[in-house]
Amino acid sequence: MALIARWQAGDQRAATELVERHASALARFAVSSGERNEVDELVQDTFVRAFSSIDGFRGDSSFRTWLFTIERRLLLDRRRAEKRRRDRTELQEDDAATEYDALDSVVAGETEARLQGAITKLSPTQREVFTLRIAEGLSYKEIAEAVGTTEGAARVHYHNAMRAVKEFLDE
Amino acid sequence: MNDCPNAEIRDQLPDLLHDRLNPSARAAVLAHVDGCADCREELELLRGVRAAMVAGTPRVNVASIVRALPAPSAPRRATIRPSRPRWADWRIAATITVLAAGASSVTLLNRAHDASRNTTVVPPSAAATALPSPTPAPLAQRPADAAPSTTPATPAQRAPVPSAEQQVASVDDQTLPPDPAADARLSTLDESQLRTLLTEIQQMKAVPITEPDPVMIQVAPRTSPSAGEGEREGRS
Repeated sequence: MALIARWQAGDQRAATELVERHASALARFAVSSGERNEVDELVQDTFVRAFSSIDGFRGDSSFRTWLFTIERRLLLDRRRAEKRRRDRTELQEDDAATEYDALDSVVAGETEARLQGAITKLSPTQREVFTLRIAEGLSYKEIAEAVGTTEGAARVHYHNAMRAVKEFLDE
Repeated sequence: MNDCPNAEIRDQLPDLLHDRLNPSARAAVLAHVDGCADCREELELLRGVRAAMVAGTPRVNVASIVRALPAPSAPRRATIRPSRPRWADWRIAATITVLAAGASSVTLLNRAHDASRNTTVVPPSAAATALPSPTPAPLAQRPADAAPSTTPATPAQRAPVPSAEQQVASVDDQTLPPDPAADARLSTLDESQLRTLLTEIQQMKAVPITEPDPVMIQVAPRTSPSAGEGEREGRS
């Protein structure tokens, strides 16, 4: 909130600090949500949307959770638009191997590559919850807020995802 | 890879990873993990998944995002009213002058009316300086009658001056007609008379000299008895 207040007072460095602090998490969440090609653009749109309506941020949740909510909404809007163009980018089951291959060059070690492959096998909601819980450390309550579900459902999604990852790694 | 049966501890492993536990909860989870191989294995898995996710995060151009951000909204400014045209200033002054003149006239007329009713007289000293007449005249006497003899007399002034009782009766029974020369004659009063007059004016309360016209309510005559009955039936 202090950084937001500084930015509202005209401090441009506060905006830079906010973007640096949250951009990577938003990019990770975008990837976990199936966005592959326009992650940079999606993250930028998220920040632009957030800073444009920052007066509506009441601080009920953390700023990062609020950003996740905005990003997910933008992502859903994009998917609806793409669906209308019959060119869906949502990750399909058959695309898992393709994404795995694409990410393979980025991931350094074999273990990381295997883990990344296990994550791509998850359902979209499981992936989102799993990412927010493990990579960002959000509580179930915060995850439920960001993903638009209940706290109990978020917990179930997490444990199902964990079980699926373990099974994938045991194969 | 097995799941630990302690679901509560397993639920808190990601929080332990991100150091989001309070000291007592952290101590409890660490104590459990030390003695639980499944939880240690799951904690290692969580570390690996987290590292894989971080490593797979695409780079984001922070500078371009910051450039695209909107400028912070300016603080709300007070609404600027359009400047009033200059011609409105002299109109306001004229309105104030007209209202002041009207209020003074009403006050003077009321004062004359009240003075004649209460037979209030000006102190002899003030009246003597104001009027050349040997008999003290009420202050309600019209200035036309109080004009000094040095000024040229108008036909109205040449009329015989009535006695105090006659003036009281005449003022009480009739409304003073507007006299355009009254204001001019006020200038003949000296300073002490004007101060006395002003003091008394300030102690008076202005009341309207006119009353609103009565409103006549016309009732249309009833056209036929049957219509009235029908109306009563309709109301019931």
